[in-house]
Amino acid sequence: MREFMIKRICYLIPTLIAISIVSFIIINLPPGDYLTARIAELEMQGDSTSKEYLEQLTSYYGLDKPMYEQYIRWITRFVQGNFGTSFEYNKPVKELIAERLTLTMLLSICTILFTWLVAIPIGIYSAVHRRSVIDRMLTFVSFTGMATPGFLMALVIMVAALSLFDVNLMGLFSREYADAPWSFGKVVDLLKHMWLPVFLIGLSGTAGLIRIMRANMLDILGQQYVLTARSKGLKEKVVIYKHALRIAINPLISIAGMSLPQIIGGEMLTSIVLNLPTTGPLFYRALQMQDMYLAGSFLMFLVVFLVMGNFVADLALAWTDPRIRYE
Amino acid sequence: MTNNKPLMELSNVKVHFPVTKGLLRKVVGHVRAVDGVSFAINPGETVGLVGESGCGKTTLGRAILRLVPATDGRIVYNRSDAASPGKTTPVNLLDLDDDGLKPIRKEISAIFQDPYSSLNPRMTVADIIGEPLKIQRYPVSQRRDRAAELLERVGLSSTYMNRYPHEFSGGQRQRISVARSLALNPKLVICDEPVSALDVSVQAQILNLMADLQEEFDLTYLLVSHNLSVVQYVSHRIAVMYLGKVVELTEAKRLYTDPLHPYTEALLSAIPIADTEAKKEKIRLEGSVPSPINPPSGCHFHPRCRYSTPECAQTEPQLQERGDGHWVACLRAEELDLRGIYYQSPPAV
Amino acid sequence: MSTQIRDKAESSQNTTAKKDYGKSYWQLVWRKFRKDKAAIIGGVVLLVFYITMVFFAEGFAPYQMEHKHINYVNAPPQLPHFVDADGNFHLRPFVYPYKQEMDFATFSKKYTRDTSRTVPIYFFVKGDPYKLWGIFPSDLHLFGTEGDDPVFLFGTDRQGRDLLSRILGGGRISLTIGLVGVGLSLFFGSTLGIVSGYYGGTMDNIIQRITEFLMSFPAIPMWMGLAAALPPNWSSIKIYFGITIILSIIGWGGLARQIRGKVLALREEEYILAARSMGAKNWEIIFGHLFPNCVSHIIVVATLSIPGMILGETSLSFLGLGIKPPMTSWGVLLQEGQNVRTVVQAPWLLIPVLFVVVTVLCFNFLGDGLRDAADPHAQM
Repeated sequence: MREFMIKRICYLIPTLIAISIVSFIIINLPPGDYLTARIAELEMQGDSTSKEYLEQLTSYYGLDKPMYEQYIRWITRFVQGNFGTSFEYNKPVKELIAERLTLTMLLSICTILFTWLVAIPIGIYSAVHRRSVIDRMLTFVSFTGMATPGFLMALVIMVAALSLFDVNLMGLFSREYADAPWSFGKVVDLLKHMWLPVFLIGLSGTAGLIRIMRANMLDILGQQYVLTARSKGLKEKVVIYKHALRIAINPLISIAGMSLPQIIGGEMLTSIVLNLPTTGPLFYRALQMQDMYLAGSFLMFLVVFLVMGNFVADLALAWTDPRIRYE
Repeated sequence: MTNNKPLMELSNVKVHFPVTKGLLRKVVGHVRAVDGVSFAINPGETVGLVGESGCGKTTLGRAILRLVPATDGRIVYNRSDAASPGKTTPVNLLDLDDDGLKPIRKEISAIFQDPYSSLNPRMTVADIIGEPLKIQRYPVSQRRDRAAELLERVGLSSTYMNRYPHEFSGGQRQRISVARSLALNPKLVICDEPVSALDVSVQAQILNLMADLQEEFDLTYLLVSHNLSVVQYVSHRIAVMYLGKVVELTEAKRLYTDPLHPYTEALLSAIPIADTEAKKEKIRLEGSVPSPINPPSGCHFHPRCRYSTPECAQTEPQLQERGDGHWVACLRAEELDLRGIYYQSPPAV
Repeated sequence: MSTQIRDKAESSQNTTAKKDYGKSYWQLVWRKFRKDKAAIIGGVVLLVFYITMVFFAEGFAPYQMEHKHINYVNAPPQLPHFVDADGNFHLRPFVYPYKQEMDFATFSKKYTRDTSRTVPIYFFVKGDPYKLWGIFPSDLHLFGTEGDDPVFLFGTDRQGRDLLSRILGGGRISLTIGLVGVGLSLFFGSTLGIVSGYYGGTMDNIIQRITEFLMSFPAIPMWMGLAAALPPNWSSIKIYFGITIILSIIGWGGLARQIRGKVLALREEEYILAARSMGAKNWEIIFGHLFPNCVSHIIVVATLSIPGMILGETSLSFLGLGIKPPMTSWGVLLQEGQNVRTVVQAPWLLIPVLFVVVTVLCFNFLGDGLRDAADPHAQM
């Protein structure tokens, strides 16, 4: 187990470095980014204070230095917890991201829970009642769910709610709580608003997981040891829940780790449509404004979060399934 | 077979696979799959190569075909000269590169074990049998004619040409394999467990076919098998392998009636006999085959040998000739009186 | 001859049904695929989509995509009828013309149906001129009206452009970007997958690490970041290929992984060993044995990864980061729907959603059917 962990960590480091390089490239890709525009603007003014500010910016980001030095400067600061400044908001990125990232993670975790809680029972039901009318219906529904991207569904639902019931489904908080400090009331309000985004983000993932769970379960119900259990005269319930289910669920752990990137992506799009106070709209806005330091740091954050998630999922899998360790 | 030179000579052939460990893939040891094997194969004969699974017999076959790289030794093939019959040129297969090997590939072919995996499911029978010709750049028409001819020769109808492997039974598939191995008129055919994946009833048919073809085309076989009954059925000489080494090599009849190595004796005692009169004691080999990474000291067989002495753990016996063409690697070969079994000569074909 | 007799005895053991004789793998696949109704429907719908949108969008559309009917802004969809208000049956379908009123509360036009008149729909009419495939000038449209009353089966947008025509034209971009993107990732994915699986060793290790790395990236934020970095002054066609490349940069990783797995399994097959023992060169083995045995797998994986690409393009264009007007894709059409107030006024602007969902659904059905059929000997 320890060797497995060390091995995993050793893979982690180059991955993180590569991620940081990609993020940095994205920061530097746009030719007309905010920083250049700002510098041009300052140069136009040409007075002494802006010249000073200009020099300050240049030396801070090392803009006169070669690319790799700029990168080293950026990544060192990043590791030290200094994520740069958003030019648009003129605030440290750290401040802008903190609360929104918490909400993003909360939403993602709730979505995973939702996905599992819905998909596993339905998958089992579908597998046990294979080829029944309900199974066929569920199959069709899950196929359609897989084909429907959450953000488009969000758009449709939002428009329907607004035009049919005059209900605005945007946001995660009611107006009175939006800028209020955290309180019990705010948490309750959050939970009240959260079900829709969770449902929308989880839609296609749930549908996919239903298919996987059904396939796993069918696979295992055909195995010899399940036959043995049946032939011993065990009740069907015991066979399904004690023998088959345990093994059918095992592969889902690794799927949970792999589905995190998709959930984050779905969350981003859905949040933009529903205008949730999470990271999605902020990132989107940063990209639109070419506020690249904000966007780049942000991407870096998300991916680190994901890689860690994958790492935890791997460890969990290795812990539950000893075969993985000796791969 | 006026030529008394062997067709192929193996001397001290070794195939070692490195065992790596840890992140840096440090080599911590070697699997000695084949560990110094020497023997010769004469033209027109069938040499059986037997042993338990993992003893290196398949690896040796693949090393001859250059499918796995040999670590050491020489595999000399005596190529007969087309221009002057009777004259041969020795070539060490291990010295040749892919291009140099190409003409020799015409003369050495192979039959593999699993008739289900040895035929590409996407190819027609004609394409499968014609593949060796294709690789040697023969024209299409010639490939098809040859495929039709060979199909008939191995007992299948040439109307099967355009069918796919999945349409045939295991025995029929193995016939196709045999046909493919004959496509280029080879001298030597390496048969790797050619019948062990087949039903017993079909095994004999394929072995008979192979014997027929040997006679007709002057073929030489190296027959790799774990099954002594199969080897006995067709082999002229038999080599017994244990942990990467040949422990005994002699004429088929001698091996059965007068084994000199305790391992051979144990193997022979395990052959089931239909004759209830012939009582025989089964020698049970204790334990399993030791790891070829870390073989036992001295004689590799000594931990499982019921005749072993303290000396056997110290000194490694060499393969030595005891009597006319009977080679054995055992320190006590002189003194032991080992039991053979009744040798049933193969039915005339 | 004795072998003949043996053969007879053996052929009775042959378990394969007689009707299989002489059928190639692909014929067997087709036979199995044909029985899968969902997959057939998916395939047929996609075929229709590709023909009507990618090849002949201009002809199937009643108007030119950018034709602005300034008198019919935000007009609702019209339903084709066969029976008129008086109960008379018409063989030729017709629509009721629009009647417009000004709503002085909101200062917007209100459309109602004028059931006193009918506007018959004619087929193969002459209308807006266009150049088919950019070469052949034509003005023939599958259907349309004669006279001044237009037909908008899916309504119009706020510039008075016919939504049906725009969906058909936008489909060209949305549908091809998926194919081209998958084509690109297929090329990289299968090449690297086969190399990685066949040669193994250090090469395999490096490729494995790269794919793992790519797969740990969240696709959508990555796409957004890269798409935002495309220079804004690029031409439409450059943007199109830029987006395609961005979509496939992440896509090939998964593909390479799957194909590598398949090659690893195939590499152990004895026919590969046999070919090597005959002296086949690596390229002969790769193209003669590995590739033909991987093709079905590659097709399945590709079919199932097209929807992701289509959705990727839709999301990016929807956010204004992908295809930009005047080039039109389904995502561009939906971009107008980002303004909720507009869409509440004109909910038909969401019709492209339906096309996206149906396309993705059909690809999934088709891919699933192909996957089952790719293994024609397995019992389902």
